[in-house]
Amino acid sequence: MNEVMGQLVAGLAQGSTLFLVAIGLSLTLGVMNLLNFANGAFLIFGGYGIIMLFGNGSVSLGLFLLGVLGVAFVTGVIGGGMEIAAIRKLYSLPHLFPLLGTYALFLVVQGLAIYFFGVSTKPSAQVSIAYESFEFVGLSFSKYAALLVLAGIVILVAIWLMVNKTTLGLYVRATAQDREMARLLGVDVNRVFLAMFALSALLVGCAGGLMTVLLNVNPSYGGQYLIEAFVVVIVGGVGSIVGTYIAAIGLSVIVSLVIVFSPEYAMAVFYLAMVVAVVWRPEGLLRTRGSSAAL
Amino acid sequence: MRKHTLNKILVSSIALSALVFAVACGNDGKGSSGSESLPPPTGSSAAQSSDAVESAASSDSATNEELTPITIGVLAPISGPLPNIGEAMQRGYTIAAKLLSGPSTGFDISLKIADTQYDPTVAVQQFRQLASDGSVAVIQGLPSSSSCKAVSEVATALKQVYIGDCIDASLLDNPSPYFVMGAAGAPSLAHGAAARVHDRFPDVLEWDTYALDYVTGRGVVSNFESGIGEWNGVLGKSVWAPLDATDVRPFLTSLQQATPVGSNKGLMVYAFGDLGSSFLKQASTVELPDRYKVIVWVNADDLALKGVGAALPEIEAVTDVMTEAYLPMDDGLLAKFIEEYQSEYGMYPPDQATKSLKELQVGISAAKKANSTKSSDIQKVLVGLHPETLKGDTVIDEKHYLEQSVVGGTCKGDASDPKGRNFICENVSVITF
Repeated sequence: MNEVMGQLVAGLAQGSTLFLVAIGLSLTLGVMNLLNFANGAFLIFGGYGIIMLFGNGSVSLGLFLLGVLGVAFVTGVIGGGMEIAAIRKLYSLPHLFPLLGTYALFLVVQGLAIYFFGVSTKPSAQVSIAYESFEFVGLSFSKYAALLVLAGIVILVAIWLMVNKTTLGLYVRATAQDREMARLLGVDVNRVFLAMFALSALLVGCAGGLMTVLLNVNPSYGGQYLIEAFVVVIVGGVGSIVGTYIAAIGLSVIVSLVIVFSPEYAMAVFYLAMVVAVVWRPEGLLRTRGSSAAL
Repeated sequence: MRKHTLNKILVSSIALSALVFAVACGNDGKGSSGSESLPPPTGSSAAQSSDAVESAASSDSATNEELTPITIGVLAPISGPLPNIGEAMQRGYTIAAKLLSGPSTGFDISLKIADTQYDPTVAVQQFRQLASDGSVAVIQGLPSSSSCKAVSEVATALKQVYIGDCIDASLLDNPSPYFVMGAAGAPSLAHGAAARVHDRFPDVLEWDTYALDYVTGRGVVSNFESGIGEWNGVLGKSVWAPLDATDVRPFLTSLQQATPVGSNKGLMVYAFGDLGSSFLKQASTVELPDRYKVIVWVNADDLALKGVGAALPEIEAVTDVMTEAYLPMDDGLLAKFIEEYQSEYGMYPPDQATKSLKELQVGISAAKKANSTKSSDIQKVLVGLHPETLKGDTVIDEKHYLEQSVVGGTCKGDASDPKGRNFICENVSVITF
């Protein structure tokens, strides 16, 4: 029983990390109809940004989080720059071109990471609470995992509020529903796209920074998350913020529970869940057939 | 007005970001990579890379007309998922060729290093290209277990000697007479790990395992179970992680919840490269080092250990090469190799680089004994070869192992290193089993 409880919480923690990557993908796919593989590049920016800031030294949690926010902001600005310089020229082309264009950007950034930092893994900063745990209902939990869960919830709420309670959110929803109609009504669609792409980069950069504590920072940093995040977006519903969160947590918890009984089939179950979800609810977990693409 | 303000915000943000990155780069940017950084890959395609890298090793000795020119082909994963290993091999072979060229061997060694991208298809293509070159006497290097199987079959067809550093030679049901394992495979390491932990921790009888879920991972756990069974050790919980997973926390949590702090259990971990250091990083967050009396990392390599840095918990590392283990038995060549490597790259040679020296010794020893640079002549003497330059037990059996030495050490991160890139290994020894 303890093991099952422990796995539930482990799934929650991993799902929160996955959500941080997936929400960026979901926003660009939902609003801009853009399958953005450049998110791999933003993960790299986030990871190496933290390495550049702190090296391998010991840092307090507060300083580390401040660093993550700073790196995420810079990554967001770089993402905005990429959108202006390259991505927006691809919107009018068939779907394959933006996909290839963003993937090419990812490869360019990966190449730059190899050029500047080499191919080897870089040791990352030692954050004070990373190796500490706390007791809850008789079980031991990682403090850093709890922090990631909290970060996931904060970002979920913040994005939901932005989309549903602000003027920018109104423009975003209008653009997601019908970009031509939104343009005719005076919404600067290009600016909305720029904001969403930059926000997506910021969120993924934030995830990249936070994950340096757990993962090796090298040019293939975070590659595992790209495909898994894509699965989460499909299961949760393209552009659905809450759906993305539920899918990330749900799929991760399922995988964690399968590990208890049969670890070798855990990842197979993850992708099987995607197949089931696509067949059962192709519009996403929280939508019904025929509902709008609104966020 | 609003547009004007947004533009100002955007411009200010870009300027601020550029400033932050400039400051950060100034602190630890390009300068930090220094001699550790790999030059851009030698070619984007397999065909390009095979002839792109040729060692200048022979330049010093080329003037000596007594020396016989010999060309060694090397398969190395210069790009792909394990480029750090390819980098160490490339550097190690280049220095080794320089050191081994000369009157002591009678050869003037040239290298042709081909990038396998850690891909079996590319490895076979590169092998064929090197073999068809005509000048290549022996092909060596590291592709992967599956590549070994494919390359072994091609080696027979082309009658080209291949001395491979493959993970698992047991995959070769019917190995080619032209195929020779250069060093101990992962299943042998598992036997070695079982022997070492019994010597050092005789009271730890119950062992859990964490291994990568593919055929070699299964073979490692099976051999480990067989090894500990010889001294009444028992296998407990086995966790299998996907081969490509970097975030393995749920897999580790299942070990965490099953093992109380301070238990008298051991954990055997089979992971290679960065997958091993990922494991150690995440294992620390769920206190596995506190819950297991001893953690053994089978197939540990120092490049991956560096990725963990000062946070490396104390572990038993078992691998096929550990430079320090060979130093006491050194005849001077290894010490010279280390000196050259440090002078050239500003760092202690990684295990993979040292292994390159040892493997090149095998190929050159065989050619010397055959007194020929023809692949077919070298193949004949490899049967039964026992090169004196090699250390440890040397055996040729039906799987064509050339060397079966396994090395173990107790390793931990060096907290006194401000960059945290060193680790300290003590009690290093060659394991016989």
